[in-house]
Amino acid sequence: MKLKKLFAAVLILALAFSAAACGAAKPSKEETAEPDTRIFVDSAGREVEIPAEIDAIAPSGPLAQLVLYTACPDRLSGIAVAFSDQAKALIDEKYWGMTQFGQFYGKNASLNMEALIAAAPDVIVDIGEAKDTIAQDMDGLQQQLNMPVVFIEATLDTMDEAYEKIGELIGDTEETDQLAQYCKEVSEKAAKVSASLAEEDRLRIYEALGDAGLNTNARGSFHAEVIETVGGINAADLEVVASGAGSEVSMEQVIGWNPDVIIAESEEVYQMILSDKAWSVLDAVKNGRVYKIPTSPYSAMANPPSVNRIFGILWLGDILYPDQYGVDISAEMQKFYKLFYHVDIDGAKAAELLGE
Amino acid sequence: MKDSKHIKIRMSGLAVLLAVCFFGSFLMGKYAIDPVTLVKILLSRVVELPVDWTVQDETVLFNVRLPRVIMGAVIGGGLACAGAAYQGIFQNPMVSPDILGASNGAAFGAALGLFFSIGYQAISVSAFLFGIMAVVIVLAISRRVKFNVTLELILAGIMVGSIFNAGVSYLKLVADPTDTLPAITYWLMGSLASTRTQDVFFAGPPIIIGILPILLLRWRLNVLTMGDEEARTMGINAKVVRTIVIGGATLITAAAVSVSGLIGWVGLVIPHFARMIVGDDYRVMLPASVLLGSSFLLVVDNFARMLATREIPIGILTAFIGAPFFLYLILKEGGRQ
Repeated sequence: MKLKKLFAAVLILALAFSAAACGAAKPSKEETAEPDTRIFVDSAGREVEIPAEIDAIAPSGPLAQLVLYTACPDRLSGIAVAFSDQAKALIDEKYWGMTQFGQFYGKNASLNMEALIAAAPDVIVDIGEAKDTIAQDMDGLQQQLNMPVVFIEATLDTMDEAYEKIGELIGDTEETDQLAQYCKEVSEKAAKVSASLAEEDRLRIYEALGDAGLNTNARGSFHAEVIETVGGINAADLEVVASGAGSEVSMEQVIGWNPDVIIAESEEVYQMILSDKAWSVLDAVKNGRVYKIPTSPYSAMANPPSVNRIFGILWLGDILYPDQYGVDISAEMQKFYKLFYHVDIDGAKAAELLGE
Repeated sequence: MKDSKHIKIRMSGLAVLLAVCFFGSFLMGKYAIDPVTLVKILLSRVVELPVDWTVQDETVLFNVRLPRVIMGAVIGGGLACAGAAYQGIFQNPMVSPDILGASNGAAFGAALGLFFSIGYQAISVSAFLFGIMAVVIVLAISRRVKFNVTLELILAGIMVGSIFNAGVSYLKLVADPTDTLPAITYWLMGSLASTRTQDVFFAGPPIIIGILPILLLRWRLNVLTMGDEEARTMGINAKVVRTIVIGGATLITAAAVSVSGLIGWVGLVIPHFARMIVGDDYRVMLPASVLLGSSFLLVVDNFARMLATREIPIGILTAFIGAPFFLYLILKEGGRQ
């Protein structure tokens, strides 16, 4: 039977292919010249052999992209996701059109491995919070791509260490030391102020997210960390804490909490809170303590939860406890944007971004 | 009735199509490897050849492209086979492999694994086990029902499926939005992008083991489509056949979802397409579905990795292609009557 023969032939070919793949363990032949390498110990404690000179780095996701952009923009060999319009407003055009690799989350993500290999970066960097399986995930990706993959831990408290680590990775600590120093100073200032505040002086803040301002990051959630870091109290005390802007609350709850200060993420919600009748009963609205979070190029509060929050600490600190923080927020914004986003903004632009 | 010679030619055509898609897929990717080099690299595994390609070429071919192509072919064929078999035993053309909750269960298992961050391989195992568990629950419920078993099975499947669905939604709600939430979301969209060799070894065998009994029982499926009573008069125990087919299809679906996430529409649309080509007879329609399903998923996966430099989840593409095609079928059928 012709059909069966054909089918068999296809099967045999397929099997031969698979067999060839299974025998793929043997390493490929020697390269002509062995390039210089060094050992880098990443935040997961893995010893990774990387090229001595690091000129091209690929980020594994949006967090890594943001941190690497602040630390060494010219070493990026591509980006994970396109810059948002808000980000584009303040980010040099030459970075907009970079190759997008997609993002890696361990499994079934949008990372295009072939595009990544084709771009041939010296190292792939993942930045964020360490998950339990981080070493395993990194090893798996490294093995599959046959390229060095390193992890650098970065949380709000450890941003300075993350920059030091990046400096060590790229072998150039001049700029990263400045960034690390800045992050360290801000964190230390916040810790000092927060510790010095008496319990009754702490202000209660409600973060209004979503289309109706009735989504929020509840107390204890990773995304609302800035509020607690600066010494405030997150008014949204919920039993079930969704980590995202996913905690939905009702107007009744907000009225019940009656926060001292409201911060709104979007211009629409900010205007709505100022004009809507239901919100007008809140003390924060009566006292004019409603603020619009600066969101360009990245939200100062959380989105994404990365180095942008270092500025968020100063911004919120200045609103809540201006005497204790004692910063000129406009000047500080210009300094931060210059250092981290590599963009010069003048006082007028800063005022615009601050919504003044 | 189409005569047998005609059908043979068409089946050969489908086999050739699969071969073309399978080998053609090796040439497609964002990392360009010219065909000659590609053949040379493959041959170098068997015979000694002078190396004139880079390590990257080899990495792309063996670590990225090969597992992906094999997985795509196996999953596509498996899902189409499971779909065709279900449409037969439930006597319902709108049925797809996830009707008994296998996909929802597996999705919940995976989401749970991602939520607790239990590791690459463990997530697949968790998804696979939950997929099987969902169907076992459905079967246990339907055993207590004495009349209209197929309808009760479908209803129980939909209910159990939606419970697991709610579980997934809850996990998404409480997941960390910076990494866990997107991980779950991407996972649910379905993708072959990160397929590793170990995935092929994990999901390949159960899928093939699931396909075999269905293929062997394909003549009995013809009888079952006429209903349990008719099957009994022909000396076929409908219950036994149905249970075996459900077992096979569940193995296929749970294993497929456990490595690739949710890839819809293949199991629903491909059997209809196969029917159009070779007719309703399960003896040829089932193998035709397998061949066609493999080819289809391979082609769609080529688009998934070629359309942009970042991957497009394949579940989105199968829906984009599958749904309009299905509408076309409905309109065509409607026009005929």
